[in-house]
Amino acid sequence: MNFSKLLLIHSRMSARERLVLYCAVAVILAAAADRLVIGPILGRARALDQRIRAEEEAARHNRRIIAEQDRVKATLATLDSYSKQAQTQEQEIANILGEVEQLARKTSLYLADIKPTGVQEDSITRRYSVDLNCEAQMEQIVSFIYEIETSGTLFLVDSFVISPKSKDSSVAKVNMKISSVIFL
Amino acid sequence: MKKASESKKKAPAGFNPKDALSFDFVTDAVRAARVAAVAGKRLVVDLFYKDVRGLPREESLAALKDFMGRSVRRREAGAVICAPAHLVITKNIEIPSQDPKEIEEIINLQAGRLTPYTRDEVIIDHIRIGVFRQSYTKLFLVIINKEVVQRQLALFAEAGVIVRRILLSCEALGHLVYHHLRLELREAPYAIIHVDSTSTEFGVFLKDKLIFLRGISIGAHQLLSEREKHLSRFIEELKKSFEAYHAEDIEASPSVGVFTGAVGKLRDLEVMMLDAFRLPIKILAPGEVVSRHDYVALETLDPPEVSMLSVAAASLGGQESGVNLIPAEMKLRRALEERGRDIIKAGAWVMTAFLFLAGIFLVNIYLKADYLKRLTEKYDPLKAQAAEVEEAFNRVRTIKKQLARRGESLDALVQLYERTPIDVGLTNIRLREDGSFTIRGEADSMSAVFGYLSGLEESKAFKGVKTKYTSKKKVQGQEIVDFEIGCTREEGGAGS
Repeated sequence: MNFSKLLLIHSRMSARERLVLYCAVAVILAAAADRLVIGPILGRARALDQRIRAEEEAARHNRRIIAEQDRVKATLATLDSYSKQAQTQEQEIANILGEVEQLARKTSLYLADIKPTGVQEDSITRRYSVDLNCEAQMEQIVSFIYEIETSGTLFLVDSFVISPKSKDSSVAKVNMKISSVIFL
Repeated sequence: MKKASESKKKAPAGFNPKDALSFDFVTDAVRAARVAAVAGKRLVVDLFYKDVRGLPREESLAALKDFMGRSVRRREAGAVICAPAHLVITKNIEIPSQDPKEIEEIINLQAGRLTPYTRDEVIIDHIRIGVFRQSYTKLFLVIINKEVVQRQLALFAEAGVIVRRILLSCEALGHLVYHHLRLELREAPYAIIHVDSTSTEFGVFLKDKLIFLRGISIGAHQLLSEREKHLSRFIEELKKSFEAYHAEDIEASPSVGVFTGAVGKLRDLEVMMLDAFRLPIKILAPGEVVSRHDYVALETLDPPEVSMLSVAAASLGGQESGVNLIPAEMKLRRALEERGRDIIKAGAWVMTAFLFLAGIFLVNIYLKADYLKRLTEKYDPLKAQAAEVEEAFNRVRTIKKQLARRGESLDALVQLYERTPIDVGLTNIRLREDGSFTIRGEADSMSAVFGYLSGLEESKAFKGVKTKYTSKKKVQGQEIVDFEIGCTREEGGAGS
């Protein structure tokens, strides 16, 4: 069907039919333009806007952080003793177990057993957990906890269960979970 | 006759590109005229005449091509061609309707009755003269044999002429004369007697509207070569024309007669006509009504025995004509082409607008991408530095958080120790990682348990203190109360 035949058909249409045809053509063209040209262009423009906003936000954030650089580094220097760098996991575990044993000995705690229970790692730290069972007088247990939590290593008593070793005994059985944070 | 514009082959500078081009039907001569706007005025800038009586068709074609060859630009403008009165049949009729569509249908139905041809063999157009008896329309019908028109169109097409309209030569002339004599003619009908070399057209006009037309087969050539033989017959034919006009009862009698065309050597007829028709006669030489460029000689416009007036009038005012004798199928084709062009033009506009918008968007995207690139280049060096500071900050935060939690368990134990009365014995103390505390023990009485509970509730080291269970039992005849208390370690409550 050539163009003139189409024009002939068009010329025979009533005003109402033409209106419907024009509307249909306009809608189809608008939809096609939206799908094929406007949509992708606007999508690209929106994506660029988002990237620009993100980049600007990151730049603002980075500037703020850099402005705090001196203060943060000074603070970190005061806490440097806690900021131990990671070694291999085996070495770390051996060090932790050794230090806990040393503190137990220091506080005359009878260490029945001690074992590592796991490692949790995030982007900057590695957290080791140690589970230990011991027996001691209540004063010794408190001393041990005190030594643990004032240690130069970032030890923390996460949980414990204390119960008398036997009825009317002054010796207590303790199950304790200690964690230590090492920086990567 | 000398070729009118042979002296000037090239179009003068400063012409408006919208030239008007007109031709007479090629019968015994090829006549052509071109009008252009020069310094704001429409002037006849080219006239062409060639006598082709007795010559083969090829000669007419060559003459047309010769005229067309003078400028390519003129081909694009399209042309009007004028049908002489002797080739058309005219009728004055009354139609019982005022609706243009209905009038068209009635004319088509009556066509066979009005002419010796069938409807398909003729082209009909009409001029509305006016309304009478409220619902009737007076029409001036113009009928022409389709074959004659098609032969002419074929000839012009072969010469490269695009014919836009076919009009009546007398009607175009009427427009010209009316515009020239408007103040004298006013509202009354007037007659135009247009003398050509071998024929004369008698037309009656109301303003610039043709309301009656009659062709007379005597022209200037006969009147000048054999005056005695033809003059009386000429006057007689003119009388018959007046009578025919009156018989049709179209309008009032003409108030003036305009004698024009090849009237240079026929000026003495004025008195004769005045006597014969009792009507003031005004002789109008072509040079008086046609505005021409200086380089178009007067002899070219007003040669002896030949009238160039109708062709010049057609190019000057052909677009105002009410009659168009182009075949219907050609009209339809033109309309379709026109519509096609309109659609293409509209499409082109839409596409242009669309491309313009897309261009704006693309430029916008380009600018944004460029800005992003510059932003990245500018702030990329900061990222590594910021990451380093951020890592240090995270270390500080982690260490501080870890240090802040230190001592909480010890403080809780101290608080517990301080709050536990002597009559309460603890059998199990459990601190979980989530900070919840469970205390199991034994007491001598319920009141001791609840007292202990109250003491813990008062402590700022614990929150949510509640009894999980209490049960009484007898051990060695003595009543003992077992209990379990649950609470949560209060963060920051240490030392209270």
